[in-house]
Amino acid sequence: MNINLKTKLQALIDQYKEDMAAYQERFRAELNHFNDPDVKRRYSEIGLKETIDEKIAELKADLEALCTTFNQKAKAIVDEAKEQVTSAVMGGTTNRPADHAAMVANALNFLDRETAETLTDDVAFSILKAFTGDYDQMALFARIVEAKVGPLVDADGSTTFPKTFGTFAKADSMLQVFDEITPITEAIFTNPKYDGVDGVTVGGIYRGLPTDGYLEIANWATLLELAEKVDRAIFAES
Amino acid sequence: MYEGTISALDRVLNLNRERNAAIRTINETQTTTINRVRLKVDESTKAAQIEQVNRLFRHRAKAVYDEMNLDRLKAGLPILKNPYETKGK
Repeated sequence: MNINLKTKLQALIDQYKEDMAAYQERFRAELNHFNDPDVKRRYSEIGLKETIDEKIAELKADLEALCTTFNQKAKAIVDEAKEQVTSAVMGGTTNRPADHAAMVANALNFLDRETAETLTDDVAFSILKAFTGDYDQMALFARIVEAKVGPLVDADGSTTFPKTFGTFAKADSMLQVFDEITPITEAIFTNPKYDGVDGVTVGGIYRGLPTDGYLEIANWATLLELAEKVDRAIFAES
Repeated sequence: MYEGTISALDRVLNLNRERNAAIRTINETQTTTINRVRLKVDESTKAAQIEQVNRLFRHRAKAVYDEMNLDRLKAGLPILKNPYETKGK
């Protein structure tokens, strides 16, 4: 399965940059309009400044609305990808047999009879092999096994029970990437803009074009890196 | 489930591009021809035309957001705020 999260987000960022460039041209054109002698003649000095300020406020409100729409689309793309990943790794949750509760109770019974020394990866696998495709259930069993034998993750970050919890650990790390992606997409396009070096002089005052800051650009790069991680992990999984 | 949201937001972004193109055309138009006479388009006419374009855009964007939010509610998703909705205008 290929979810192409990085490609979709890259396309969105490219689309945003195009629209931003078009917006900056509109900003420049609409403000330059006030340099026209016929237009300036219609206003007093104070009236001209107030009208220009109103126009700038209107243009900035438009930009904010545009960025909000792009943000909403980014979140929808990420939510769609997370849903695809979740259904791929948690498929077992929706396909539980009728006697699932009884199977869980039996497994817990067997686990309870083992000690920290006797509960090895092979033993755990023999008890839990029916559940390895069920992410939610394995998350619960991981806590029980961990309480018995200690941490299930070694210093390298690999699981100490690869046979039993290998699939679960891979799924868990994939879903954890989304915990990093989600806060970045909250304001991926709506960080405050700064008044750029490029601009237009109108009414005797230099007005910089609203421009994306370094934080926004850095966030895009981070988001694409994380999206690539998800794509590679999902592709390797399938 | 999210495909509908993504395509609706794409429609809004396309409407926005059309709006900006219309505003650009209005701003760049210097004259109009009426009965073989070329007349200068005055600024108040341009301002009224731009306001009409903006009003039409907001109306169309609202329709898209309303339809999208109805589908999202049916799917159990939270509604998205329409950023183009101006209060009290």
